Amino acid sequence: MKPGALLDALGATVVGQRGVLEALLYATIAGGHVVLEGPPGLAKTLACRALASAVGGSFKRIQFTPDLLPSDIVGTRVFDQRSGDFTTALGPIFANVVLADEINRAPAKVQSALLEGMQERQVTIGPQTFPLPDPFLVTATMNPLDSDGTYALPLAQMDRFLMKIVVAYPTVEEELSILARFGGAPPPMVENVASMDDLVRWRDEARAIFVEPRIARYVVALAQATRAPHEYVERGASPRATLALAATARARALCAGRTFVVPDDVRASAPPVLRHRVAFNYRTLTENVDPESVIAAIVAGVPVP
Amino acid sequence: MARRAFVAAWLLAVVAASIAPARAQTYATLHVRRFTMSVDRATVAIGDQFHLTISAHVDEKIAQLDNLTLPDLTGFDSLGDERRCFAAASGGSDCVETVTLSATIAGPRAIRGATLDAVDARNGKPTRFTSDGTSVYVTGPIAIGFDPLGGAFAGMIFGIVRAATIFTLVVVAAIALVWAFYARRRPAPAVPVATSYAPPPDPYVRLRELGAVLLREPTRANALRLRAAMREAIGAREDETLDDLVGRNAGTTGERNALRAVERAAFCEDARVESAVSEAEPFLLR
Repeated sequence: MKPGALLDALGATVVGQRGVLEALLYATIAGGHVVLEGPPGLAKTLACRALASAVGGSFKRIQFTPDLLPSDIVGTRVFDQRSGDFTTALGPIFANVVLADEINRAPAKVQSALLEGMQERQVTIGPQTFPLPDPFLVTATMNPLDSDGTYALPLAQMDRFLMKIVVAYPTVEEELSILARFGGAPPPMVENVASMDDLVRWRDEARAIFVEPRIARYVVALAQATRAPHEYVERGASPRATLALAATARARALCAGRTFVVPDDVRASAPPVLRHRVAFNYRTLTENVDPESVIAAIVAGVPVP
Repeated sequence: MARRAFVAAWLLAVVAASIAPARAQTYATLHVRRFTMSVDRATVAIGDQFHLTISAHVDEKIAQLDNLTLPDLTGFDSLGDERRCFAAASGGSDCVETVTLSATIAGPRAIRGATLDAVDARNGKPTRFTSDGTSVYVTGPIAIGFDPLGGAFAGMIFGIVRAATIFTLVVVAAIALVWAFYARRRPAPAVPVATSYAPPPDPYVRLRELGAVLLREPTRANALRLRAAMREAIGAREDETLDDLVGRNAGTTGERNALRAVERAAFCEDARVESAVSEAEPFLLR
């Protein structure tokens, strides 16, 4: 089974949104996590559910609300009256694909409970530490429209996500296809077209993808370019972004059936990897500048090797 | 009457001769290695947008290309242009001017070359460099077909236009003869701008050479050298990847396939360079 075939299979469930599906697969292969930003109803949940179903993995969805508690995510210890001892009830974070819906609606303490698991790949409840399933992919969604009563994720926490994908509305043809294919019935889920072992194998193969020194310099140059003085940028991307960019480019190369990275892999990966790691200054707001165009200009300013 | 015309022509020549040396002194001294012009679509419909790209490579580091004159774009609406220069990987500067055009008149349209006035660093003389011309076929209704009065009226208009054109050409030729006659009699001033054509070197000769070198010595360095030359020949900007070139149909399909094959050889693992060059060979031989 090849990663490209899995992508094609997912396309049977999710019409369009190729960028979202690719990002989910790249992140799974690169061992990262994804933020999906877009209005409701754009198949974000469906894409995550379809990926879990396609690889025979478990899927959990957590709706983040202001009254959510960390124990609602990681689990808690419960006193068992019959045994007279505490037992651990594991939370919904223990799944292969976890969808943190509207992550910015919960306070920082809850967000950090999830982010800790994402980083450490393990969760500590009381005196016990539990490893999270492998592979483990967290997909967080954010609605860019209703920002009242939300808790914006700090840059340091956003940095933990491998990629941020801006989910766009479907085209007319895609929407017609959605209407014709589903028409009110639940979308058909592809099941077990790949296995969890395939995912682990792809992850190992991606680590072995060759990055020629000129390509490596291009990766670094892109990260450095975000740190150069810029009229709209307050702070550039961290070295973690450099690692993330190389990992994503490797995953893209693997999905394209190559054993080496080409400049296109890096260039295509740059906007989703960098856009949430760059801090923009107040002028982007006051002058109504689209941060996407700033990122695009920074990326375009770096010569391709 | 004839005497007045002669005096007017003489005054015009004196003014031109006195202004030109002053202008020549402001020209940048450049090694112009390449000066080309191309369009991204060979056939467009009336109202369709397309891009006319003028690119130059000079050995000097420059921030902008001064004294670049666009060709006559009669029959097209100019919707905007972008001019930029950036440091070339091989040294010097690459300058690209992209003009967005929309055709207004149907039929085959030849676009003459753009010109660049500069002091040629090779001989120190002010020189007018001229790019190669290009052409576009504009599809759509031909304006004369809409003549509500029919072919007779169109024929009359065509006759008037033809007569006016011939008359204008005769007048221009007469003025040029008078000017040439006078210019030969007086001491020759320093020629402000020598119209010399520096024919752009045929990029394919160099590509064939580099291709032969790569096939003879299949190394990454040779693959990278050929890739750079192919990108230059195809008109790639420094920020453009192969996908960008494919997206905008730069070059021919064969050139893009060859570039893809060479790119594989340029960036694959060390142990696979030789086999990647072998795989690229059929594309290079085409």
